[in-house]
Amino acid sequence: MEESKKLYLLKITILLLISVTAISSRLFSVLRYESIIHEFDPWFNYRTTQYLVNNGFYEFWNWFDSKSWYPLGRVVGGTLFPGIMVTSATIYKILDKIGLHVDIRDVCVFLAPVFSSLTAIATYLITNEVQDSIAGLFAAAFMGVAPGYISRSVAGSYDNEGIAIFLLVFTFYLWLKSVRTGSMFYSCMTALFYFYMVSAWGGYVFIINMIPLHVFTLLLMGRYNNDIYVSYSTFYVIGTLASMQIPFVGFQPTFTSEHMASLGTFGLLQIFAFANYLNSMIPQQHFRNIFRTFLMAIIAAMFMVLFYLTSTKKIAPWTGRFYSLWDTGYAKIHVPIIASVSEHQPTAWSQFFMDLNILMWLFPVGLYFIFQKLTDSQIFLILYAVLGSYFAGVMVRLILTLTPIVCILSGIGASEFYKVFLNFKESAPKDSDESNKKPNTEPQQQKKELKKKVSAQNIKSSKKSTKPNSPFDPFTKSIHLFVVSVVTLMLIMFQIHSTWVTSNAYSSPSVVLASYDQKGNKIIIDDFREAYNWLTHNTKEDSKIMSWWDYGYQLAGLANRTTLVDNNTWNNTHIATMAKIFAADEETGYEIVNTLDVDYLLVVYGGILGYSGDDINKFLWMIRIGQGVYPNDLREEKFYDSNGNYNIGDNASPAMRSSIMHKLTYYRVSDFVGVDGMDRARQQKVPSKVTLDYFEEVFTSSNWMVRLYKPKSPDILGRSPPKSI
Amino acid sequence: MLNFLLALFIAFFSFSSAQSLTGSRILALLPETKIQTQYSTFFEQLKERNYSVAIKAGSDKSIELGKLGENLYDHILFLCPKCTKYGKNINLPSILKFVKNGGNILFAADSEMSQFNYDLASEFGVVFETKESAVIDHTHYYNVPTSNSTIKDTVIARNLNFNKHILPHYTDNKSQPEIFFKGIAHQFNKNSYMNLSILSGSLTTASVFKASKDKLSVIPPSSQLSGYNLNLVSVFQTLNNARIAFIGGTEMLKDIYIDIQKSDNIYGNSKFLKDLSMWTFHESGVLSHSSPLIYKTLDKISYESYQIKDSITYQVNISEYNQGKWTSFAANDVQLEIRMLDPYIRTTLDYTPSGDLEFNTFKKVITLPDKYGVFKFQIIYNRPGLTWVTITDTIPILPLRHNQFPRFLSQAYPYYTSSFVLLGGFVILSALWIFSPTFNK
Amino acid sequence: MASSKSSSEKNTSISHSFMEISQNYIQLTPLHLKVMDSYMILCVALGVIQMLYCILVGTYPYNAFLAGFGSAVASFCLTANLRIKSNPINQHPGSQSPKAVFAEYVFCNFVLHFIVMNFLG
Repeated sequence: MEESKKLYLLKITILLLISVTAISSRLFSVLRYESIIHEFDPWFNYRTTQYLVNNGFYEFWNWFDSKSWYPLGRVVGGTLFPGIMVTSATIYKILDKIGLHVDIRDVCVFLAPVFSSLTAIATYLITNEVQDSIAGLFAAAFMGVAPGYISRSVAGSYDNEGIAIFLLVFTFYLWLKSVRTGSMFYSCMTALFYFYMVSAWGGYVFIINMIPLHVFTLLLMGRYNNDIYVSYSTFYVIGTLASMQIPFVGFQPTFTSEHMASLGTFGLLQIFAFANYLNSMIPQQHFRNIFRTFLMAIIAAMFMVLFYLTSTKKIAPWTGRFYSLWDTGYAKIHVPIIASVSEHQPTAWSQFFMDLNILMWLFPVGLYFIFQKLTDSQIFLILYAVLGSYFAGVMVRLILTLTPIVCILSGIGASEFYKVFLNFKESAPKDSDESNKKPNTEPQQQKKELKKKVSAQNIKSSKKSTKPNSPFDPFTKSIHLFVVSVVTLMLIMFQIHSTWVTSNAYSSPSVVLASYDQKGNKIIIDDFREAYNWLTHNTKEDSKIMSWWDYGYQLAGLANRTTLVDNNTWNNTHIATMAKIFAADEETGYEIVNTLDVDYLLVVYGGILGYSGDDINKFLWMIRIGQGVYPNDLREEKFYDSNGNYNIGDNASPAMRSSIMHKLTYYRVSDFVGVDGMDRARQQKVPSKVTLDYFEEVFTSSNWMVRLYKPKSPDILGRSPPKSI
Repeated sequence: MLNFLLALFIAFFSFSSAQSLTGSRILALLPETKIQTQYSTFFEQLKERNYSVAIKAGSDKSIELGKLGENLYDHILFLCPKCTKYGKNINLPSILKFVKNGGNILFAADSEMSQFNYDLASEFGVVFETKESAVIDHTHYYNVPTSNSTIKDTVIARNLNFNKHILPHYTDNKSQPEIFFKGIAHQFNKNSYMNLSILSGSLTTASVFKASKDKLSVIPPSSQLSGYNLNLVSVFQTLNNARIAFIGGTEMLKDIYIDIQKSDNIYGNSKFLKDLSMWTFHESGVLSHSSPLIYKTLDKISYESYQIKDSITYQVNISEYNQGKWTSFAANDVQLEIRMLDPYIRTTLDYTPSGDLEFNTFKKVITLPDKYGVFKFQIIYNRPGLTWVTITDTIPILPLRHNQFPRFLSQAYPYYTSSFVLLGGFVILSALWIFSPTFNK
Repeated sequence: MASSKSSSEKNTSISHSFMEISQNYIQLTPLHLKVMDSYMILCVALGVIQMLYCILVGTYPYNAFLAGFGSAVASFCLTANLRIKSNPINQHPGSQSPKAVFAEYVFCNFVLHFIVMNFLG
């Protein structure tokens, strides 16, 4: 009794430490920079959260944002996943009620780290559910620091994924629990958390396909039992009805292909249950006859219905984003706007290693142990592992959904590993104590790792002591010792690697950049905010700013100005129009710009700093996107020089040189870097002379990253190009 | 726009002596100040309309058009075609700046004209014929008694633009026009809606070279301007409504030409110059409008945004400044356009004659389109002879709110009933479970 | 076609099987399960009626249809769950007590009807 209490306390402590580590390792960005919202999408989430806090839920729900997508506007309430906003607004309200008056921005900044600690706990729960608590602690520790997850959940990264991964893991935990216990309550909770997940992230589709797949596999394996029926049917009916309450999802569950699998499984399960019931009523022989006839009729009917529905287009075809999951080349050809986003690219191997590191080989180990005893839950994990790996290979950003299962299986792998090799019998405690003491001086993160080991031993010793001892020769012992220390070393390496990756790769807010001068001093490059501030203070409040869609959310959030397109990318035509303007010559572009009431144009130029994510490098994607809508006006080939290279400067093709994008980017650059100056982002010579007739420069940030232009006001004498008097 | 209107009214009351809306200071530039006597009738006409005319020689070094960004004069008469330069620092940009600040110009050319004046005219898309050319007409000509020239270069032009805003005395009285003109022809270098021909040649009019003062050259001018394409007088209105009149010859402004035709029944040089200068100096054909009133027809309240399919009323007051006084403006072609990328509604506004008021109210009840977005409510009223009018309001049209969709539809009653029956069934089942011994064992 | 005899045999065996099922059902099923069954039949009937109505009248208040139809399906499933769980045949030492099952059933129904009411209007 005493022992188990101690153990319990130890577990709690370890989990707490893991939580603290999970949170604190995500705070690099706040320490390095400041408490600021990162990247692009989070700015929109932040802006909507502010709106929600200031105007209340009903106004938020009905919010029509006339300041974005000018002049189309955006029905914000119906086109977003409100989960994250509602969550942080609720936290804000609660904190406010109990007397902690914090800024809503701080709530938003720290939401993801807090939820990541919850994710670690959820990972513990799910692993504990499937395997045991040691594996659970390992998994939780991995989850807390895995770079694949940290990449989306550092402080300031206020995005849907921040809470969605917690919901994903927790929903799966509840599901496994409900399958095991067959409890309606747990499956109802699964449905409710599924609803929360639906409200938070588009990735809910993963759940609604994963769970039916699990059920379907169990059916195929002949593992049907009443518990499965109870949990799945409860989950499906309540979950589906609930998910349709989110305006953005609407009636999709009834007619999109993504949701059909769950419906089909539901139907199949009903048949199984009914058959099972009949089976219990009558003898085998008769049952078979009936069942066969019955089944054939049902299958025929289902096929006919499916055929009818797809042929009459009642079931919507699969969306482009979904096709690109099966065929990586699909998006490039058919939906360039999806392919243009870097996080939708197929994953490189180095990325896997960077994000998962040592877990990449612990993962198969865990998988092996999982296969050792196949329970319903283990099957679920195997399915998740297979699907997760596939999807992560297709799209970079889906590493995020792979990370939890990798952590879970690695946790199982590591714990089983230690179970075998820490089995020193009587001499065991001494040796492992030794190996524990040394690294204790290491930073706190690794301490936790060791704590786990201690607990592992404790359990081990308490369990194993009852078993008969077998002889244990020194040679085997030293091998054991060697293996254990190597594995421990690797785990420590993993910690160091994670910390390093987090601090170097994933903690940059991307609104503010950092670089180092020759002496190694850090320089903060704050051009974006400089430009956005300029806009706030020097332009009229209803000014319309045109930029490529990447900067739309930031313009709205930081400069508080009307934008024409933003990261929501819901209207391809409008984005293509922007591309058309940027690719057009000045006269044509000027005309379109005027019909759209554009007051300012914003381009991002990285040639002075060597920042490669600038607009010229995105320009080819713009042309491809534009070409899809305006095939007569835009041709990709025209922007390559005679050798077929994508060049800038004096060697560029005529269309490239006369395009507005090229002109706005390089206007006056040669005055600054000299006629022979280099564009550091592309290592090419900048154009020697750029003339600008229809636009005038109004602002250039200190490192030339953000450049703002204004279309000249029409000439009062009607001359073209307009001349200023 | 309201400020503009206010400024107009202030200008109107403070300069009540002057009829022009933009001011009463005229600068007349002559080759020499002493030849002003040749223009005495014209200048007298202007002074009668309360203008203060400063007469200066074109070469006068003290002439300045503006100071510290403000115009020193409101209108300029360029009556010195031969002047190679004006004042000390007056160049094309400073003249364009004068125009940009709202100054009006009446420009007279002649057969002998300096390059500077050619350049000045071409800034406004007006191309005068080459030097030494003259307009002649073998059928409609006049022999000036004092002259002994045999060239028929004093043309009697009758081909006037029938525009009631620019030439009201011509269009209203339907009197016979008879304009005596001597000078050079011009054309427009592009087809711009800003240029408007006022007086042009007839079928028998042509532009030719003069070999000497009284002899025609045998070489035809390169462009061969003739007939209706040949402009004698034209006007130009900039986007900021400054007006510039181009007259092909100084002679027609002089007393000697005005005096030829004195009959009241005939629309001669005197009346023509009066109409032309009144229009050029903003005494006629100026429109002014209130800021539009847009409100919900139902409750007569203006909102910042409306919802799809709302019935709204659009109304705007427009008045016209005509021959020195504000009058109500009447037109059946004032068109309102409601657009978002594409026009969704195009409709002409109706007005009811207001009687004594100085304005007419143009009004329309509109059902907004079934499409949300940020819409532009725009009137672009550009008519020759009137100032350009563009009235733009940007108003978001919102979708219905979540609680505005129709509820409790009759065709949905079976669903409601079913749901409540099931709820009832659940309650009964639960009650049975709790209270019945069969269940509760 | 190969054996019309066997198919006729099958037919008789099927009708025979049905007879057997109904007899078994009437004899073996406890009363409270029968009550639940009748409620489930009500659910099915309402679901079918609504489906037909929707096909005939059109899908216009689609949310109301989904709510009505969904509540029928869900009530059916939940009651089926309750029936399975409270069926004495399925009771074995490790399983939940009928009281706990019933409490869960009530909880699920509350959630369900809350959603349905929200969805109807």
